[in-house]
Amino acid sequence: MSSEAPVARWGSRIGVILAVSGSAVGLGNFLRFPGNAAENGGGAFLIPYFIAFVLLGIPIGWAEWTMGRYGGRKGLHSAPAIIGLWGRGAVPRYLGSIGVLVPLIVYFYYVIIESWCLSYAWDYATGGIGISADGDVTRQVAESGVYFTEATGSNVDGFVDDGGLHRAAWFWIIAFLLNAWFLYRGLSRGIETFCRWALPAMAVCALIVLARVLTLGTPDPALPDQNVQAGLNFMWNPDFSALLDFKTWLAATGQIFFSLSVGFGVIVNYASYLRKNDDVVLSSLTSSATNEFFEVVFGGMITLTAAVVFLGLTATQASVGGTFSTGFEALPVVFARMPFGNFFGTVWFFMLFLAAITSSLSMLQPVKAFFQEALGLSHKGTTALLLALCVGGNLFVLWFSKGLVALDTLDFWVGTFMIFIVAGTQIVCFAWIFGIDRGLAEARRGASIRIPNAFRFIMKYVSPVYLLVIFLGFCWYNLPPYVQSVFGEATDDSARRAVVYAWLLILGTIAMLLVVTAIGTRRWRAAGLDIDGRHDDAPGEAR
Amino acid sequence: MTTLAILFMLIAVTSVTTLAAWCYYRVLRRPPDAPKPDA
Repeated sequence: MSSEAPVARWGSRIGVILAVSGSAVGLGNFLRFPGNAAENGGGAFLIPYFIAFVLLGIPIGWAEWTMGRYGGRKGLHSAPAIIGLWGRGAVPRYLGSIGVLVPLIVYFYYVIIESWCLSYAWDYATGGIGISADGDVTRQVAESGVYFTEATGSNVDGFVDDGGLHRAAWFWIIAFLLNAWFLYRGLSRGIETFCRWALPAMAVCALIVLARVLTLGTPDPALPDQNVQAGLNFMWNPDFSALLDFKTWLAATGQIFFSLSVGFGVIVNYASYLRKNDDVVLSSLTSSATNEFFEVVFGGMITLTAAVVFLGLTATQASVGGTFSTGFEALPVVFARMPFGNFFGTVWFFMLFLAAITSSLSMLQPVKAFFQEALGLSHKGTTALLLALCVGGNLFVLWFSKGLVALDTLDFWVGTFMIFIVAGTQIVCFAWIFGIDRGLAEARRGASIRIPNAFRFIMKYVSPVYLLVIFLGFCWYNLPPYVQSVFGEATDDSARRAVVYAWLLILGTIAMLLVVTAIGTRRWRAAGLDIDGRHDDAPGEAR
Repeated sequence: MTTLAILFMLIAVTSVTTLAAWCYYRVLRRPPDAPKPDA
């Protein structure tokens, strides 16, 4: 158990901030945010977006950091144990096991997407991805789509076994080994050291691409409408009528919620390695602000601007519906038409790879901590067990690649739906069961800045209600079309089979995590740990 | 590019940049941590 081994700690304040920022900054910042904004009111989208940031993102972030640090002080580092501690009982503890399920299952597919970024970066660095530089945009988009299909196996199941190992499998192996290496190196020497290097490198890469995009001007005089201003206008021109549509608020809140990594089970784990007097208030706000900077400045000014300049409004509008279509099909056409496109393509996809690996690393550590403290395994044993599970999960997603149905199923139900449950459980435990005044008193310990008094009301009433409304809205608007897409007449048997297998994987993982939580509960009680929060020490009091 | 688009872009970009800069200023101006062991 963790108490038998030296307790892992962060090496520095800036290290943990960059690690949490690295967890939050991912592909969604660069690819999902601009599409979401353009589809939902452009500049007007930023109004519900920033409201959700203040009422949901910042408060839940503060709650998670505080819960994690408090749990760590009591010798607990996993989401089930920490949420059980704050919720004072078995129900929150077992609900908290979803805080392990989410990072584990998301890792199963996220590292695959990460390997796509690596493969694209490699191909651009070694001569491009084979899209003809001149010619019709429609043909180039088609060529880009063919390349994406070939690289990801989205046209057939089992593509990784093509008589040998498909090249996509090799890139997965490289990405997987890199994750395994940093995990094995440990919290400070592995994850923190890498994030301290990767976050600034991402910012430099993004600045290079941003500078290039903003100086594109009007590259084709024959098409005067395709210029930088038109691109920025497409992204930022406000359509205030969109504010009357609930879906705009749903999209904006969802973007904030998923982008900040709240409800992922990551922050409670990362914060549990803080010392009792380490600041959580400013650290949480700084990591959130870092995420917003990458999202609004880089995500909001690069992706769609470049797309409009080279593809035109029509083709860009067609691509904004999905993260993959924007990032992996439309942007390669942009690089094909851009001077020195291979260089900028390399920089862009390497930046996406860094964004992805800092996120995927953060998914492994919470699961590792859970197995380590619940089963009493050693560092090496836990790492081996976790990596074995991940190999199985990754191979499942790699194999059932047709239409990316298995990946979508895991993303929809675990990477989206279940995050609401974890976040809701956490904010209720913080504000209602542990108590808002005790929770805020604990948050203020060692704080570098003051939490405004208004957040007492916001965290107790507004955040839980806001979250509930958005969750119900998500179910109302998104579940029916999703179910129709899976079980409708247009869906073929292989897609249905992938959905069934993905659900078996989810249910099997849930069962395994519940059993491990039960085993952990016995171990924690036997070790005398206060897993039910019965030792009512004053908040902020040293133990 | 419309005036409103420029306005929204400038406000959004300035807001998040200022917030991030202020946060890092507050974080980095605190005295450095003592060396800590790693597990």
